[in-house]
Amino acid sequence: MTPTSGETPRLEIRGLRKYFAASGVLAVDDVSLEVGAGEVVALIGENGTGKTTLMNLLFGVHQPDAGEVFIDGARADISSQQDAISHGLGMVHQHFELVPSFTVAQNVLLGREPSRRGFYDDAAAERQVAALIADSNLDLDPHRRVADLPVGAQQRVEILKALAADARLLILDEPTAVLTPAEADDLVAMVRRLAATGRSVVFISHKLPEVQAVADRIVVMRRGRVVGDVARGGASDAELARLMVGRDVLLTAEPGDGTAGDTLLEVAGAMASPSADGSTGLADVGLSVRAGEIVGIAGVSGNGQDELVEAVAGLRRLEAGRISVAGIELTGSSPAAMRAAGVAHIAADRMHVGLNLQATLEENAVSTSFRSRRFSRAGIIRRRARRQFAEQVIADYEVRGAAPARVVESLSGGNLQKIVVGRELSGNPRVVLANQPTRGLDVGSIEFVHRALSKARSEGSAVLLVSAELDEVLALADRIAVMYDGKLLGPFDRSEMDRERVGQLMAGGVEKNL
Amino acid sequence: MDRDSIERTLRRIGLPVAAAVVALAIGGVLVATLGQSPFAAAQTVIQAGFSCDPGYCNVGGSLTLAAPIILCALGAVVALRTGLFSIGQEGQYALGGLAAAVVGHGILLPAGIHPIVSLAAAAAVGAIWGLIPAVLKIFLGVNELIITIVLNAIAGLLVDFLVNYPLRAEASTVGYTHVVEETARLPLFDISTKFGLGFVIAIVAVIGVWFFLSRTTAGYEQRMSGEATLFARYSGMSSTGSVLRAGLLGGALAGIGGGVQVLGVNYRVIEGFSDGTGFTGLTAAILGGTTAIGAAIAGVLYAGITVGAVNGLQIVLGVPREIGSTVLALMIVLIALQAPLLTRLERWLDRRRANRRHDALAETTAGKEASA
Repeated sequence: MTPTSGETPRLEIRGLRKYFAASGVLAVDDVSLEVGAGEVVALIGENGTGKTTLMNLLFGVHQPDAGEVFIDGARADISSQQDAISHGLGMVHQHFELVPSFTVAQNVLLGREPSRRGFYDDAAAERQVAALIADSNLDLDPHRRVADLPVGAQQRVEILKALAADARLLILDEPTAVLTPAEADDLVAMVRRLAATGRSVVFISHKLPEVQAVADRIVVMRRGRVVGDVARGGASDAELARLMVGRDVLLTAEPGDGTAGDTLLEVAGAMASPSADGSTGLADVGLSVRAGEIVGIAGVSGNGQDELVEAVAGLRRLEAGRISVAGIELTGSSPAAMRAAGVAHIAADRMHVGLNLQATLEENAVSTSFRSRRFSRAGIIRRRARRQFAEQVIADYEVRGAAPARVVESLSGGNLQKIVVGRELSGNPRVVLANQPTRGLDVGSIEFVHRALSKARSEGSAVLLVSAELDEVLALADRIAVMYDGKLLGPFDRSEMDRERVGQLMAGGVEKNL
Repeated sequence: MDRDSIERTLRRIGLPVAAAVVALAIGGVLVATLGQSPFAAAQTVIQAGFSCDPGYCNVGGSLTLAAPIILCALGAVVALRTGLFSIGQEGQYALGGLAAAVVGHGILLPAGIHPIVSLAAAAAVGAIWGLIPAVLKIFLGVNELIITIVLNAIAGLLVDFLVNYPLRAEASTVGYTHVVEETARLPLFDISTKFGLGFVIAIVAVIGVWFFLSRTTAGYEQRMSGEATLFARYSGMSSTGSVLRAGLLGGALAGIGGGVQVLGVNYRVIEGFSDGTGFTGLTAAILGGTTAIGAAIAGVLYAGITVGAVNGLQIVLGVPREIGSTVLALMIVLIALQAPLLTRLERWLDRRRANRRHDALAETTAGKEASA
């Protein structure tokens, strides 16, 4: 429900502006926005369009250069996070700020614990939190330790924390980025229930389908400005994507022409133990990828995908099984040997694994090839060649805001990933491992990565694409496999697979007529 | 230069300079509490630490003292920048010095070759001592910080034991080794201050370390492994290799520092040779922003202030020379304080700017209302 003209909006932003002198970026440019009581407003836009800055302005992290904020009709001067909270704003970040060893109740009341004679009053705390849970329709047990809860429930604890501080407006910053599809569906339902209790929600996201499901109104930002404000159902995914990017976006990539060549990657009987809590390891996984094809692996994260990719990249030893590249067995080889055999690897974690954020772009661009003749002579770096290569990556991959000699730390996620992709796909790799290559990226960058992977395929690379985004796998892959509980189901020809069938396999349903 | 790199350079150079200035000012206040004029004290320190007359060149003495400090600082720079958080320069310095004394006395070689062989021995022993924490870190996962603290104590006591018993030159109250042969001594440019080849070696090492870290593929690999271990491994670099090289190279540099001190100044090792030179080098490395050039500048500053405090403050003004080491320690404290203080300052400035803008806005609106 859009606020009617007579009603006072819960939040009103008028003409907010923020210029960062240090980077010369006008991050928020004359933004005005209203959120009504009980309304869910989705805020969407590419990375680096000012969504986060806007929220930081609301939260007193930055001070606006111009503009005003009104909450329930009263002007609010917010100079710190405490101010924001006392004005009834609540924020749930992507990364939770919880004490794992505390119970749900202890976490929710952190900083305002009930006490009796100077001691923490456990019974009162749990009573208060139980009442809050009942009032807000959240599904939680106040006695449970946070460390024992799944991610989705931990997120509900964060939301409850904000509600305990009497938040009338909740800001959720990319809340589904850390959730499984089922948890994300639950979250959407929960946000709707919260709105029904009269609380307002700002839902920041990249993912158009969930935005369409959750929001009463969708506000689109581009380059610091609001470029669209549409009611639910008022615009299609394609229309929203065009608003975000400013041009038509290819939401579905073209599949290949189906002419695959020799087998370049072969994995047989791979066994591995789990790498992290909640992961499954590998149970007898076999797979082959041929030149000129993309084999997509769908599945919920943590079902063995990381273990498989890391084994092929040389980063993990298998307990049993064989890996060969272009017919040469390389089981148990080092990352250097795998790379020498022509295996490129777009790592799932670009912040810690794929890049060195403290290093410059040119240093990052040559990390896998710095010993080659092209970039070194007698142990000395050929700086001009390195600089030229970095400039070429910036130009070819449209890395914005970058310079070869500048530290990459301040670049947005999409631009960071372009550096990784540019480095990994240079030099015609035989095998490309792409693990969650578009996670957390904006629509424009996703399109870019998809084009780059398609190009690698048409140039004869064997591409193994691992993604938790079912649509990505369906759009790009020539053959599709599903990982569930450490086992690989498939691969099946793209033509045999549709959403329902893959979804069923992802959820662990074994199909009969395969 | 774009705005980014100007800001980075300012931070890199401006902040250590600011720390040095503030520490010197506090030192001045301390001098004032002792009843002496801070300006006279400053003049005395500069005179005693950095001046040069035809008769006696004080700055030569400072540079002589700076040579081992710079070499230890380079050892720290190499280790810290490349992923081995070693503070073991003190022990590497002590054992390197002893190795130079032993080879300088025990072997007969021609003049041109003898110092080279002696310094090579110092480098080798320092490197071995530096390798120990690297090996323990890689194979047993032991924290290198703790190990190097312990290894420093072991090295200091080992040197004292060796110069008192197996290597003792003659019966006296203090143990010391034989004097090194004339052939092993480093050439001097100025006899009175012992300013000689040692400082030149230190400067060559500064250029070498700078070149290694910023221009060679091996140095690049070291830095990447030190800054981002997972990234280095993913890219195909060997993280164990880089930790081992960091230990070896850092140890060799600090070991040469000990060798330069013995072959250029002391000519033998006396009990108590482990006198904190390695630690001073470590702090100079930190003050210099863990860069080779910065470490060299900080090393000269340290040496000058130390010499100035001893020969100037203490002898001329009768002010305790500990004021000098207090100022040096304050510089480190101020460097450590800078990061958190800067963040606060930036936020405060940000807020003030916003408030002022808000006030101006309110005034104009109020003015409009009044006129209306």
